[in-house]
Amino acid sequence: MMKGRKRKSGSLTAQMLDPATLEQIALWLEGAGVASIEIETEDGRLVRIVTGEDAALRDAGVDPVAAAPVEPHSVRPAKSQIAGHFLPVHPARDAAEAAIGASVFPEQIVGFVGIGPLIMPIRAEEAGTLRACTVGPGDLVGYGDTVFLIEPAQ
Amino acid sequence: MIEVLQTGPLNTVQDLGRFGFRNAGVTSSGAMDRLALMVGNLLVGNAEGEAALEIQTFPFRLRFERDMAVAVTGADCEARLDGRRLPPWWAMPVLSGQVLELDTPRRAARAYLCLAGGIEVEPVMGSRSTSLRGGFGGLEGRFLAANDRLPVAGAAGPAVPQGGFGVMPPETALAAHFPAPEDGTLLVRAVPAGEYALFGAEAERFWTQTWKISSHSDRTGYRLSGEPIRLASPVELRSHGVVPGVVQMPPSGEPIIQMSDANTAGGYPKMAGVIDVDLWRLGQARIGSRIRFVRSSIAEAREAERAVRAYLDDVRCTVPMLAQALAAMSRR
Repeated sequence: MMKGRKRKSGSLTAQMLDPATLEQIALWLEGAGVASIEIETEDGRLVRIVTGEDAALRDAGVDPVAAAPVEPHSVRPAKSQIAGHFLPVHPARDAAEAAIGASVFPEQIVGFVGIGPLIMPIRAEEAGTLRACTVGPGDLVGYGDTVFLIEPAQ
Repeated sequence: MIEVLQTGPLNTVQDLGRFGFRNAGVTSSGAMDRLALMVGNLLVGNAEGEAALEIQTFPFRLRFERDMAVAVTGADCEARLDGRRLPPWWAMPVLSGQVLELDTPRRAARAYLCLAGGIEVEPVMGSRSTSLRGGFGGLEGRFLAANDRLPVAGAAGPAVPQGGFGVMPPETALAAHFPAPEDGTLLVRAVPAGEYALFGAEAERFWTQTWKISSHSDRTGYRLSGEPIRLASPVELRSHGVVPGVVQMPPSGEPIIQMSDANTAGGYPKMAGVIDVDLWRLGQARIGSRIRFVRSSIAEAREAERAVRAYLDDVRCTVPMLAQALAAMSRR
């Protein structure tokens, strides 16, 4: 979208930091239900645009869904590697790869993220017990979002 | 190279088939579930029609003799790589020495193992498909046996993401374009064929009754069992050309659906033709399962074909985009 509206003067970063452009991007994000977006420019610099209160909370390290009755230091997250829609169960299977309460081993697939026609795995980083799923089926998840909480093995 | 460690009978090398030689009595062969073969190839960066392994008897075990990328599509065989479970419809890089195992699927019938670069057996008449009846194509014109080693061509496409990835199965992605099974009965769309009118009022039962796929079914054809439909008076027909999807009515009154290894000619009256775009679903139907024919039209068949084409194009475009996005993020 940005490419088509690219202006002649100024770097891409400068163009995006233009208040009118920022406002337009924020409107698009809100319209699409997206909380934040990161844009990498040619010179490698990152621009992060955050909208709404939800995103502000997350920025402050407070994940509203992760506020489960578990000690924050005793659990590890299993994160989404890519933005897409959360699939707790593979569409061709009847049951999840790992049930809540089950033990998981490092690199085990515990859920999926659907991106268009493709599916990416969500993996456990270390051995432990799958304690909670923090998003609902079909919910939009972002890159690095916590989807599962795993209690590490002793 | 890949080495077969364990296999049942009738597992073969298949691509999309051998066309242009039916006049010489050469069956087209090719994958029973062409869609699973095409999707598997796209996941590993191949052209849709590269040769792959069609696995229909289990358990099947195979060892990779070099690092490569592979995809397992079609029936969910609880695939395991060095003992670790893989999701169905999945692609991933594998290392030399790793062992892939496939078990008997609980649903569906056939799995496809596609390898980046494709299986590099010598093409015969433009295809690498195995013709079991002709005894040519594939690996020495026969089905696979333990200790067989198969050459794999060098991969040309982009690298498959390290952690593996999958694809929405066609049954999910294309659910709106195929009739859903009713009480476990697969609905197969067909159009009336040449001798349909000869069956008169009896023909109606062809559509209304549920048929069972009998144990006398294979890649050549499915023999169905049910209440026989017979002609009022027998007719003698000259032999004529036959293609996969043709539903014949032998004197027994129980239909035969010609499949991938279809005869090139036959003389039984033709009741109907299964629309091409529904053949992959029949290819995944198991012996003993039930099917019912649903009267369709050329317009409906074309519409479904367009949807399948759009799905395949979507997969082809999105695979390299995903690989690029993951590579960009891992560089951080």
